[in-house]
Amino acid sequence: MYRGELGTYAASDRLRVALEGGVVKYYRNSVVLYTSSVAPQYPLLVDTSLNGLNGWISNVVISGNLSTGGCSYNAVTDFSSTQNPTGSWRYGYKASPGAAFTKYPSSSAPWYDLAISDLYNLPTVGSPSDGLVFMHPGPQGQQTIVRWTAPSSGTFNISGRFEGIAGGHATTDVHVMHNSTSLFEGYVNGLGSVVPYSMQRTVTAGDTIDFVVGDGGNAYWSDSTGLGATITGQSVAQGGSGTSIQWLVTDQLGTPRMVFDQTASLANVKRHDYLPFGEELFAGTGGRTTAQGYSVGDGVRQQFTQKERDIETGLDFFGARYYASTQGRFTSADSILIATQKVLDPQQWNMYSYTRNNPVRFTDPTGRYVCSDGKRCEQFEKARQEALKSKDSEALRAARAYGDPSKKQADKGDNGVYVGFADNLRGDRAGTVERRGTGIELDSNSPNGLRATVNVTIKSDQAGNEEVIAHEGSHVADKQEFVNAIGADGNMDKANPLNITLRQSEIRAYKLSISYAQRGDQTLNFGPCGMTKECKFPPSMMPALRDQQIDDLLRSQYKNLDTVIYPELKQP
Amino acid sequence: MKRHLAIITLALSLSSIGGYGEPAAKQNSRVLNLCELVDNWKTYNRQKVRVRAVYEVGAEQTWLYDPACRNGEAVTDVSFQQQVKGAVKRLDHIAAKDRRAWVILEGVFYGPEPFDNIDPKLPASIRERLEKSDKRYGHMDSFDSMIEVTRVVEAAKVTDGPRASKR
Repeated sequence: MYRGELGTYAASDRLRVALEGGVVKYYRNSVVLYTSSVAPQYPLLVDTSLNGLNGWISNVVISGNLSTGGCSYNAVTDFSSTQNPTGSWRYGYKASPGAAFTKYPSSSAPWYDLAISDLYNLPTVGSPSDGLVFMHPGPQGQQTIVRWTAPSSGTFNISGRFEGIAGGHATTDVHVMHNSTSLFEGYVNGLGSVVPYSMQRTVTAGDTIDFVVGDGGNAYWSDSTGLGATITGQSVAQGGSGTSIQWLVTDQLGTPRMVFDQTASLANVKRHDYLPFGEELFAGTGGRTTAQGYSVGDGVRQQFTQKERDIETGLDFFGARYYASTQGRFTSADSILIATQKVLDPQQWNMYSYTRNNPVRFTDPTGRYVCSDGKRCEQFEKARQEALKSKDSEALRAARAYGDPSKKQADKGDNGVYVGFADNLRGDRAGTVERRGTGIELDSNSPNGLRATVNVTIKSDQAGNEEVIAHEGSHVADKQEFVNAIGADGNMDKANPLNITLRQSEIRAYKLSISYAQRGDQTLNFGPCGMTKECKFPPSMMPALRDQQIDDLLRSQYKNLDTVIYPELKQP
Repeated sequence: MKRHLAIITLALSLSSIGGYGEPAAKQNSRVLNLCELVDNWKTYNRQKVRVRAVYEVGAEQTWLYDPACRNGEAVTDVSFQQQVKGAVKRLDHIAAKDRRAWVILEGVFYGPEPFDNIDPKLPASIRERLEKSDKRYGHMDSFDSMIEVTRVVEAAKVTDGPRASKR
């Protein structure tokens, strides 16, 4: 950290040291005085000294939600040839699943153990290439491991991906483990196969997070897997003299209502109360007093539903829009004009309203899909944005189903939709939609606490094809609408009619695909319909004939059409 | 000397990256017929197998069927690894023209095994149903088994008249 002259200060001048985006900045009266080029180390230590006569420091604050992260560890950028014996990252292997971790005996990268080499293959952790750490399982079932050791206690977001980067012969099994507890398991199925993961974990100092690659149980150890891993979080700062830490205690909406200092003493608590739509109630209202902790400045910007409140305007930043809590309305219209869900719900007709005017129950998270291939993701998102401009409500529904793109491989804000690209879709296949895991999981941001988990795979050369993206997005929307209609208690009475068949889902998707082609005044040809004719859809086609043609297409080119989209949740 | 050792190390590492020395896999070298495979899925689950069947290409699905198995129904989803060995070009050529071909495929088979990692915090009614259900595969989860192909051992035109799979 910077140690030097920080200027002369008059009474009531304010020096602020902030950790912003992992960079330490010094402010004097809100003006950046100095930006440190030295990366902070964790746990954070704040130490100060004064050279001026009669000077004193008060209210040195490290503020903010302690889960938002500032410290960051990255398996790729932190990779080192020399840190294996010490430091946060270590490289090693397990002789078999469940065995003890053995650090590689080699002295520099790539890390390996020649003693268990079969001449051609050996368990290895190698230098990063293309943004991924090279990992290779051993020839006798050894699992190779990249291990992160927590330098301090705290809650950390752990995210990244495993990806097949060489070989491509068979499957490798991949795991993320906290000490001996499995947090994540998956399989990388050859070259280009991407397995993203994302989780949050509270650890104590010295705990280990292992990123593990095995041979998939098939003894095809010539496969290699890349690892991308980012661990971010907020360690507990250990303050020196005059340092304070603030703990935020939230309500059911995530709104910080009580702010404790590091002593956790009620005597020093600051309190925040809000009206239902987010307008803050200060001391002097309804018996609230400063002695109780109201209207005591704490500098915490995360306010109503934990969104950041702009100090100058008083508006809350919700990602896509700003929200005025004093009015209970967004300051701009919803960018999604028409969607089936909205048409059926009058509370959503007002484009400026907040959470269906039910702010006590709902929040307004920004749903995000996770995309795993930068360049193609850009093409994909560009095409999705085009679909969002469409006047076709079905196209909007499909584009909206993906949500907004996530800037991370995976984060807590994702909406369960993962988008990837592949070259191994054969025939005319341009995209596919498959469940991930059980296809349904808990989501604290969702009104019913649930969300659909979906993997969308688009053929690489179709990454920017709006029609393909819309077609698959229509399937995604079908799955989401079913899951969203399930009651918070698991009741599926309302959801059951939305557990539609593959036939129904394809008919809806094909109508959308055909509308795209006809919009461009083109004849769409989906190939054989039965043994002789072809399924052609010219622009002037009558709807009844179109529907018949779609039916013919499905009969000839699809199987198991009567399977519903969630067979295991189908009502008897 | 140290430099010499470093070069050896690098060579060994690169050879492993390149995938040389592919071992004998744990696999059934015998070619199974389709019903033998899916009717005994627990035996072959997650195993490398060789299976003979008719491969058929749809708009968003690819599958296997056999006129002699389950009345010719489409039985198993077919997924290809990014790099597939063997007669891939021949298979693609035949499938582009005829949309189906007799094949012997080598790959890892996945059967209707139970879900793993069901979140215990899911509502009981959902959790209990998932616990009683099995994994599904392919586009829109429309098949209850899948073969992930690593090698096309053989591919031949369908000349003896099996029609497109039923159902």
